[in-house]
Amino acid sequence: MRRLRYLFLSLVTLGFAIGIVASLVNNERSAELTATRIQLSAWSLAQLEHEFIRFHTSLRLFQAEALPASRLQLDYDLLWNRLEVFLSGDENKAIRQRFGAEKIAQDLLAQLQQDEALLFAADLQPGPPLTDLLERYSHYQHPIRQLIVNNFTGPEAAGIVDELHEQLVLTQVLLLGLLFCGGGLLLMLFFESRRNNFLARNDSLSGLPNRQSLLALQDNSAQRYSAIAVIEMSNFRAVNEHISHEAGDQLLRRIGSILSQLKPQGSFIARVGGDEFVVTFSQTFPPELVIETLKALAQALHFDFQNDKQLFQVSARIGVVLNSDRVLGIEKLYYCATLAARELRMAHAQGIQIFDEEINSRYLRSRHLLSDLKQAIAGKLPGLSLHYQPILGLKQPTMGVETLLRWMHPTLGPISPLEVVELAENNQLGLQLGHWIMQRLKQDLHRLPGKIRDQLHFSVNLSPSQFNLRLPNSLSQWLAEVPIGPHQLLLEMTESISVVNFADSQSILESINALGIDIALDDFGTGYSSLSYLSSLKVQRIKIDKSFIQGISTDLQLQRVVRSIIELCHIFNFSVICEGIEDSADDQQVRALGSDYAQGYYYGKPMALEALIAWYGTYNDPTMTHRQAPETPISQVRH
Amino acid sequence: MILSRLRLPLALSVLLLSATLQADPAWQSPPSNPVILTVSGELDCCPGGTAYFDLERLDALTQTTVKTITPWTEAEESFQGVRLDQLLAAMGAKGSNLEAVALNDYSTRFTTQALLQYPVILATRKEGQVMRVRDKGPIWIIYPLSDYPALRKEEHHHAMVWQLKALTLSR
Repeated sequence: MRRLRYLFLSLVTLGFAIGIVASLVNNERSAELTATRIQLSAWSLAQLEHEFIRFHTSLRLFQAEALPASRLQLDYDLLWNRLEVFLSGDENKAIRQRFGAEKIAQDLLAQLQQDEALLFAADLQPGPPLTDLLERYSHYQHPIRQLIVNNFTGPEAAGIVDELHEQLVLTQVLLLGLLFCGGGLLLMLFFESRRNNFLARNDSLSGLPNRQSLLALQDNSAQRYSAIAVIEMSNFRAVNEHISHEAGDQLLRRIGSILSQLKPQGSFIARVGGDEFVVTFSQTFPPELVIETLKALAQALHFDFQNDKQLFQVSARIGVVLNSDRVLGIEKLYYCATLAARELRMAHAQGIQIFDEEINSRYLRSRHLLSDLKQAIAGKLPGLSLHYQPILGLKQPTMGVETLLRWMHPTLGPISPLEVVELAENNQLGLQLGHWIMQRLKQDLHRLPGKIRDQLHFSVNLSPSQFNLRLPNSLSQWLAEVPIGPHQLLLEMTESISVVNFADSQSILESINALGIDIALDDFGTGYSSLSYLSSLKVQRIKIDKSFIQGISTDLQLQRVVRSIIELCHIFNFSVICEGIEDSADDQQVRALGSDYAQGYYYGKPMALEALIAWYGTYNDPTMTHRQAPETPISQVRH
Repeated sequence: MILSRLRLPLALSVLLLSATLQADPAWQSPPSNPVILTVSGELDCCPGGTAYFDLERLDALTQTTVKTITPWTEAEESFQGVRLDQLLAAMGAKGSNLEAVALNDYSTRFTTQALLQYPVILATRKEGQVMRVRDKGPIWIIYPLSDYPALRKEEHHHAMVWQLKALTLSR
């Protein structure tokens, strides 16, 4: 296609050039022709003079008796005809009008006509009448000569010729100018086209080839690569959003130049997305060097990006796939490398991830699970349910349950709730899942016998996507439809949820509190919150993560830490829940340390609603040994 | 084109006419009246290579009338004379190149191509009147410019020699 275009362009250029040259030549010729016209006039005048002189000479010769009368009369006729031709017709019009030529010719003809009778008399003899005649015609000699002189020399004549030359030069200059313009245009066109080609194939900001170029590589299916890497820039989006798009562009240029500089031999680097780059390694590139090169790239791409006020740390996630048996084509390789990079992204990590089949199977599994989850949430696939784990009041005889999500997949078996929530959050299903949980809880609450229900508190875990300004509203609506009061509902959220948007989170929490709902901070001790944050946070309970509780009965250090945490929380007026209690020793310890609530397998594992009802029955049965006696654990309900 | 369709019948009629116009061996000797046209070249009629014509001899041949305007006249005028191709055929002239010389020693060259295709005449009369020297006589080669616009070229204008006195043929 490109060949065809260039061919056409060449033909047009050739045509243009030929046109110009032809014009130049034609122009010269027409100038010549104009000159020829002048020559025709010259011919006319020359003929006139010639025939006049011929007649005049004949007169003199006749007078000298050296010429017969017939000859004189012939020359008379010739001159007569010549004068008539001169005085009529277009050919001589211009000549007639210059230098009084017409008058001279007319006078001469008139003179001839006057003398006709005399010259054609039968008895014509040389003599005095002819002398006068001769005298009269001699007077015409000079004017006729002058006609010629004036027409072909002198300022006017010269002026005409000079003007013609000037015109010729001017036209040639104009035509040459046209030629240059045309040439210039063509040149511009050429450069413009080249630039467009470049832009089509390259990203203007980073200067690297763009997605189109990468796609073009796919056409060359014979080419094999030893490896392909996908580089994703972390924090690029943050720079774009929090600083400015100009800063983002600047960053991109910098990344582009780094990549161009460090590009390995025979490699191809392209920018295929907002913050995504692809690096190919040619088939002769040693696989061992691939990782080394990528490490160098990752290091070079790890830097601080700063504008006046803000500092961002930019780093790269690199997913790489090694095509060791050179079997895979570029599309497949790109897919694998992208998956590897995705793994890093999911884990919020940086560095280099080499693709292996596990990554692929994990990805495929998550894809599979995602579609099934959507079905399950919609009620089209069975397996999703809620389980409840008891939370004991240690200082008061209160009882609560934590609502936990369970998914028994028809073919893949039990899916861990963490995986389910992560899957939902990463695929914009968080709200729908949350909604499903609240609806199912509502159903379960209706199924729960009133006696039990009224005694229990219900804890629900909040996911990040649920935590927004609409939450208080949807909670109050939900409360209107359930047979429990707001004081029976407890929301558990992790620290990270509220940190993301601190300003909004304060108002959300206040609104929730205003409804009468308490809030607990989950996984406490494992996050990054500061004490000042804690003091200003509108929560009522703190849930200490199980990592602090496991083995607490034997770990003195841990005991001290937990004691301090509990004391601190109490100072801030938070009540404390300890989770992860597994045996009676833990239970004793936790009570001793002053925790307000406890949760763990020791008391009861998460169970379905029916099992909960049964459990509650046995727990409250006065015939059973009371909970407070630690030697009789409810082993039946143990896992 | 009309011309090409006429060419064949034209050629045939020329042949026919030339059959009727028999080459007169008298042409090789000068006539009693003043010669107005001398033709030289390879002529079947005149082994000597020269044919002489006066007005009478030319009048004896079939006359053709051509009405035309010319670059030197104001209006259309009718000219009478013998067709040049017929005259050449009558003489049995060989050759396709002609040189015409006029009374004032003007001369020009042209080929027989046009005169074989079109009715080009050696006009001796204008509007029925014999042409005097001052009227461009005794012979004016007239091309039928009005009827055939294809002839309106400088090449043929030059061949319209007036005050014709001699024609020389060559191959």
